[in-house]
Amino acid sequence: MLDKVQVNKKNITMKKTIKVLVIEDNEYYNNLLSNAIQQSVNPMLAKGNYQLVLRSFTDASEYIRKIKSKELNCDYTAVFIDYYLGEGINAGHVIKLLKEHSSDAMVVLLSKSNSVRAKSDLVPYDYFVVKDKFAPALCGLYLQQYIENKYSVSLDQ
Amino acid sequence: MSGPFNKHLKRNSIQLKIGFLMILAVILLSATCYLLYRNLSSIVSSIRIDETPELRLLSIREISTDIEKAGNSVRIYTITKNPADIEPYYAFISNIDKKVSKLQSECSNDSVLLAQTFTIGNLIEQNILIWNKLLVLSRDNNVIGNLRQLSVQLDSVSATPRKQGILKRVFSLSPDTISIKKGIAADLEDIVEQNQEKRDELAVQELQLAKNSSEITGRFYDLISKMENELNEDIQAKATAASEVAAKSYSWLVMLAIAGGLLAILVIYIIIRYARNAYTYQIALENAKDEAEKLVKTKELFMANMSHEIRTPVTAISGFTEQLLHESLNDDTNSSLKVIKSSSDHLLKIIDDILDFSKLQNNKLALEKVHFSLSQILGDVHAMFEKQAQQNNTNLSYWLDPETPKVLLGDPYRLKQIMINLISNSVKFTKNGSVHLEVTSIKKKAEEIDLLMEFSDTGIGIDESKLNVIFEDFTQAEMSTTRKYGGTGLGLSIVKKLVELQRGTIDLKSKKNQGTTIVCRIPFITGDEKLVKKDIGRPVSVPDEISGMTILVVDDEEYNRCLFKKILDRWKFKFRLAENGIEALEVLKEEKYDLLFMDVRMPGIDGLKTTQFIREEMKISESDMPVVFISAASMNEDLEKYKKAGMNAFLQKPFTEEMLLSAILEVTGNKSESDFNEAGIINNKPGRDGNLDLHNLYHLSGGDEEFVKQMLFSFITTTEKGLNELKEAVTKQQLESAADISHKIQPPCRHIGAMDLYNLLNKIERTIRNHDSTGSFETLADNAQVEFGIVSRLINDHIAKMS
Repeated sequence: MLDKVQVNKKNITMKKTIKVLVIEDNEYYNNLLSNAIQQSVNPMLAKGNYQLVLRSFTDASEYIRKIKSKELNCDYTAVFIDYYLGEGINAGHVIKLLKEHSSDAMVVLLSKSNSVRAKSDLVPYDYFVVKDKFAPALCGLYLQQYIENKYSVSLDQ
Repeated sequence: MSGPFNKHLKRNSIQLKIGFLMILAVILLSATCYLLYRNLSSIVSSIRIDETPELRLLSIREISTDIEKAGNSVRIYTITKNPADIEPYYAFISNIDKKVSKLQSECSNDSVLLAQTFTIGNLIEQNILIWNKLLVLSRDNNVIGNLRQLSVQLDSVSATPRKQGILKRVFSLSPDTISIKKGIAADLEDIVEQNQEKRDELAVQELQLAKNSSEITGRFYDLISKMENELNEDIQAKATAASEVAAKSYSWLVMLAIAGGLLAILVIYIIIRYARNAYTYQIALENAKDEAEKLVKTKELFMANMSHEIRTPVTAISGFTEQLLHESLNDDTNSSLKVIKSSSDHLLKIIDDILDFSKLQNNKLALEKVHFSLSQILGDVHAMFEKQAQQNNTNLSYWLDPETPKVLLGDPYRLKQIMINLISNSVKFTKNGSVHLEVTSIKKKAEEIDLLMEFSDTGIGIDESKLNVIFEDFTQAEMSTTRKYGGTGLGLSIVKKLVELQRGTIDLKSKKNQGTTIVCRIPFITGDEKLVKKDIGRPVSVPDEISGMTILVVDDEEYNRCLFKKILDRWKFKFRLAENGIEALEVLKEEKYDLLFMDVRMPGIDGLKTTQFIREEMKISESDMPVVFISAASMNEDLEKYKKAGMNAFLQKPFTEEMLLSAILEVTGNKSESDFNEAGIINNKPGRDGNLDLHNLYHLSGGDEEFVKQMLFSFITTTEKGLNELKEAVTKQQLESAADISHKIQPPCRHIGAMDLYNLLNKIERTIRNHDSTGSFETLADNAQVEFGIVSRLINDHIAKMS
């Protein structure tokens, strides 16, 4: 099981916190995504007004348990979630749970094939990303744009 | 509104308070100094008085000495009977008399002492009387003595009768008469008796004198002791007074010190409070500043957004009208369309004005520097207003001094804008008259000139009182002007700002109802004729060499896409339209295009980000697919940003067919047709390793080899585990689970370019999902494990190479 928290340690005060959740049961792909996300916000972090809190999980059932037991809150800026999470769990379960506990996070749904798009009609997601070679970078791009729009930082660049 | 006023008051009051307290402190200090000085000097003066010898005591001493001396003189005289010896007595007497009266005058302020001195004076007088009596007695004594001598002589017989004096003659009646002699003797006895009496009396007098003088001495001592007592008392009183003064000044000092301390505390308190308040104000001020800056930013954003929002539909109106004009309908419709076109163009101009104005106000307008032909601009402007002038029955003319350089280096668009604004004003306000523009130049240095433009009209003119407000923002000479002639009132203000931005000057002369003359003077550099961009007169016919190209258009506005569709259809291009960046990326993953038109502002992922992604992640280079940015905003300030994102050319909305074509030609100008359909991106970058393509991973790592290594290890362990699970599931005939597992481990395989392994896994998944039971899953799973063996060996080799 993987449950790590990466906090960008720069002086924490007065900074906007970007909280990102990654749920992907394949450890390799999980690392890949986490890395791409970290890289995509690095230029923003470098400017000093933001800090990134990145939580990644490979075990979705563990995460659901933690949410239900209120061990974790689900206040995220963005959620990157694989559709098939193993053990019969899919992204729909997790997102439903997240939406129940507030959270106006941007939801990016990932899957290997486009066919999931049709299945996932019931899951409210913002973007769908096919797991091709551009997928990690595309996730980073979505996050970047979402943060820029949310905090309208692009204006003074 | 009380805010600033209050602050001002408070500021004043703190100054007043501190000033007042300072003055108080100075007063306190000077009072302290003064009191100290006074008390000290009074102490010093009392000491000084004590030091001066007591004059009265001296007088008393002198008097008693004199009395003694006088007594002595009397005594000496009584013994010697020498008149010379009595002389000092009189001197002493008169001295004593003087000194007594002097003493009396010295003691005049003390009644007790005065009475004492009077007593002493009386005693001295008595003394003198006694002395005088003594002197008289002593003189009598002398007579008696003489008499005694005489009687002795008489007794010792008259052996020497001749030697008789006056007294002898008086007393000797006859020498020979014994009876007489006897009588005389009896007389003498009498006299002796008398003499004895006298002597007794003298003794009494002397006794009296002795008593007197002892009394005088006693009195003197009494007086002296009294005086000394008094003096002592006086000294004591002075000492007490001095100590009192000292105590008083001490208490004063303590009080003043306390007051000073309190004052200091008060001042410190006030200053601290002031500083604290000042700090609060400073914070408030900073907040207000931030707020204001934020507001300005918001305003800018709002202006940009609004102008964009307004421009977009107007662009569509203008563009489609232009398209309709091409489809030559009947004349009536055409003229209506022309009106629509000119109106929408006019509306665009107004929006531009407002946008320019807000940029000018924030000093955000950047000037271009290109070579341009002056006569061309003049011709354009003239053509633009010729018709309008004719409608007003006004003659519009211009004259360009042949001495003026034909080509200048500067910002033609802004120069044109100045001319347009001024001439449109002149034309607007001139009926049945003339509008004339005269352009001359003054040579300053070899390549520098001042361009002089004189705009003169015979219009309604401007009242002299309004001349100085005419250049202000949103101002028109008359309130009624807007109603009558329209306009935003920004024209002249923009002109002035534009002229000043180009370091020029503008002068206005006008008289009501007699016309207006405006003289602009703007410095320019002489340009090069060869470098003038000739974008006029290009026919809207598509050159053959670009007709085969494929174009992808990304724009979120439907009418823009339609406009593109219309134009590109007519030009017979192959093209595809995408609504947003994400769609464009999806399309580009599958297909290749020769040219991309990208709207800059789009919801979701904007054009900049999309282009950046295309260039950096998808590795589609500028030569493979140039990108033309489309935006309603002018490009000036964002050019660098655009270029960085991967832009090759810029097309401003609203665009005409010519502009579109010239943009296409600009980016494909250096390309031959053979370039267009050339296939493939050949990737020979590091990371490509036989059956693997680690390029993606390397790219993602940002040069962090440790990360690559870690990812590769992670790939091996997760994939190995997955494959084992897959084998197990297949063996147990849990096909759904096998499909899921296979689904799960495919993306990493694809990511590191292990395509054989990926294909195998994909085949397993598909076969299961399609319920195609023909294949042997076990064989496929085994094959996958064999393939994984190859991949993992390659990866291990790679890792070995890395370290």
